[in-house]
Amino acid sequence: ECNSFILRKAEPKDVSDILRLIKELAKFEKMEEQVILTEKELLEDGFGDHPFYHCVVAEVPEHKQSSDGYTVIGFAMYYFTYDPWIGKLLYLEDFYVMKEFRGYGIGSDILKVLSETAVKTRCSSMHFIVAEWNKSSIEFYKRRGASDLSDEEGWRLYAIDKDDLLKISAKKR
Amino acid sequence: MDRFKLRKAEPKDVPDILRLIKELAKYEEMEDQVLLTEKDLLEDGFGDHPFYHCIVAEVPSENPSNNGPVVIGFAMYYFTYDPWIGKLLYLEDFFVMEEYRGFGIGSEILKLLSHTAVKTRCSSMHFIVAEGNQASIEFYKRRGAADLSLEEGWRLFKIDKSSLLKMSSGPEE
Repeated sequence: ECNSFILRKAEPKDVSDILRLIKELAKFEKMEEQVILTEKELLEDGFGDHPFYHCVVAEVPEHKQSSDGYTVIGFAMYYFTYDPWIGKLLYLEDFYVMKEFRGYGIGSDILKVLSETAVKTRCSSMHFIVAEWNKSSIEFYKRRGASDLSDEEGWRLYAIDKDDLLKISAKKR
Repeated sequence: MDRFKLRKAEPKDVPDILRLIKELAKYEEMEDQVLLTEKDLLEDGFGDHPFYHCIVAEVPSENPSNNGPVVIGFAMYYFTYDPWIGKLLYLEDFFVMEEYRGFGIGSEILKLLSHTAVKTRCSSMHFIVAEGNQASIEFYKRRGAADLSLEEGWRLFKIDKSSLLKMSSGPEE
């Protein structure tokens, strides 16, 4: 039974838990070695003059800690993006609750806090990507009103990686 | 046609930015969807915390009665955050007026964006392209862009304001 959890804004002290949970989520996607971000970068990038991301963390009391001894047992990472037609949007980047703490409404509560944040900061919408094979996540979001823009509008996400960025920026006219 | 100049947008460019946003939307047959105002663009782009950045392309005016240069293209971008690798540059809008295409202005804008991404220690540049837009897809693929939607199966979702309001004020689960 787990109805004694709190949700709060992440603080600098949470950086090692955030990295741990990022790696756990990556492991779930079988991509753990792809996480090259360090605690130092998370600290600079999230808690410096200009935060590049924001985090909400879910915490349980010590006596309810996880089987491996942690009290920070879930998180959501988000930032603000900009739609040239409607302005500010809240972009949900990562969202994860440790397996043993699922089914208690923690995820729903996190999403509720994010929705409140989006409305309070005058965002028109919340965007996020979901892997097309992740049926349970797709259902979770669709139950809350999410629509698949890739489906409806045919948008495809592209990337130009650093090597190619260097090539482009070094090319003569 | 090589007398064009690229520079960071300034507050005075806001009317031109909005004009070009609407022109690009018109090209996508969505002009009436642009609800953003000059006031929003000014607050959101040139306040304490910019939610977007713009590069503008200007050319000398052909009109003898017009003294200053004319803005004929722009790119709007902002920084996002990948939990595995950190900062990314996200290219949101990118447009050169039709009569000024074919002179390498778009390529130079992309070069400047690539340089900005590398300078600000971004690992990659991301952007979305409509799957029907073959000309743009080719333009980007020539420069090393990879279709993450294809390679990794990512689909872009959104939760709109009305659903956000429902979630943020809904009953406890």
